[in-house]
Amino acid sequence: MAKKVVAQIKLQIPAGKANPSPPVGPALGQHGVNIMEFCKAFNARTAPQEGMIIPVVITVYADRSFTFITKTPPASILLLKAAGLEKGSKTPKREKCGRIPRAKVEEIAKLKMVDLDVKDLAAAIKTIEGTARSMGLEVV
Amino acid sequence: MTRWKSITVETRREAVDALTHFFLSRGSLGMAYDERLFGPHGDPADPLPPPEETTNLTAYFPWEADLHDLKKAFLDFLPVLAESFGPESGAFVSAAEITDFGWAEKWKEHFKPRKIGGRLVVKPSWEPYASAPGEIVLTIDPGQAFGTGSHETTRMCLQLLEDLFEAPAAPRRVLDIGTGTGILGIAAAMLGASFVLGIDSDPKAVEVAAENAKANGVEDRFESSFAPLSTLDGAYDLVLANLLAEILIDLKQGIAARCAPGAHLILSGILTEKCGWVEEELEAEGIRTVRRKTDDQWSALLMRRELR
Repeated sequence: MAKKVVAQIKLQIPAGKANPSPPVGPALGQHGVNIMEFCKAFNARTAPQEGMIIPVVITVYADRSFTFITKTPPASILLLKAAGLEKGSKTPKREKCGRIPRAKVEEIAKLKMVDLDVKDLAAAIKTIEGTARSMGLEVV
Repeated sequence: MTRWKSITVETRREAVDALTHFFLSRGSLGMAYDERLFGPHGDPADPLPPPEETTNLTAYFPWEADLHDLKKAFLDFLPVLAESFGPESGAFVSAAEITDFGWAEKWKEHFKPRKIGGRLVVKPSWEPYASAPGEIVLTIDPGQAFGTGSHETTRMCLQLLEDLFEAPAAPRRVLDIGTGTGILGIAAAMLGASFVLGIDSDPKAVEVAAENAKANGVEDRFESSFAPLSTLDGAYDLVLANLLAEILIDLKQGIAARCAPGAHLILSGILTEKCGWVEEELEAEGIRTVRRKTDDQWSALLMRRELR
């Protein structure tokens, strides 16, 4: 029989660098998860991606054991990479910081599709486009 | 006391990555969102019901962050968000100063005595346990250090350790690298080792391990130290290292240098897919696998240095 799930939470935290301070501590502590054990396991899993922010979905069971799944890096990071930029615009409304071809947006949408909870590719593209615009990236 | 700040906003699921970028570029340490609670007894449904359209997202910041500035920046960002994801794609919920409410300790409520191998039982000091004849009860209080026996890696090490001490010519001098709570080293001392040195790069762990050794009455045989592996000398009959594959490989020469000829090693913290890699690297140091143990995604190795 499947174990009973008492909680699920998503975090976005730096790969290979999880420690008991926030967001890990408050998010997992309240559910009675052994934080050091999560950190050790997460860091082992994500060490090769150090420098990236990694979304992770943590499922906590009734016996306080847990499992986690790491996801593809956030769309924002993939977009910056694709646009060859270090960071987005601080004032995306007034100031555009770069351009990104529609084909690239589609490529990222396809990659992120599995993690986006969207019903089709068109919706995924819309999400990625929105993220690009919110960062001051012009989709061309 | 350690303190942080946080800001919580409501947003549509599609806008999470946009907000992640927004907060990270303003110094956020990371964020939590999509929290779903299924009651104290849990939801047996598999798969779980799909998440809602909107979610609360909490971004955490160091204490130095200015919550007023952050809130203002967020409110300024809302029109951009609306332009990208449609109206009502975000709203400010709350800002908070947070202190550690003991989250690193909270799980202790669920730390119960647990039998690991044939004889070893691990329990926290605050739980009573009536031991059966032949059982060896380890009292381990974790503090902020790693190792309570609930993680597969620790459990497998303890099982291998128990078997090793039951074989003829049990190890006498033991080195525990990355001792954490001291659990493995203390277990070795209680199983019969005459001297155990437990080292850790975290001063907190060194302290916790010493306290645990005392609680188990093995402080005369278990010494914990902050000394790096490279500064040690002497030869050991058994080297314990529950680390990570990458660290084990980084330390392989240091590890090999502390092994007496014919010494055993118990290595763990190895993701199963990296096990072959660790074995290959250590073989170059004259260390071969005797036994491999696998539990879920983790592996532990019992290895032996060549007799030479």
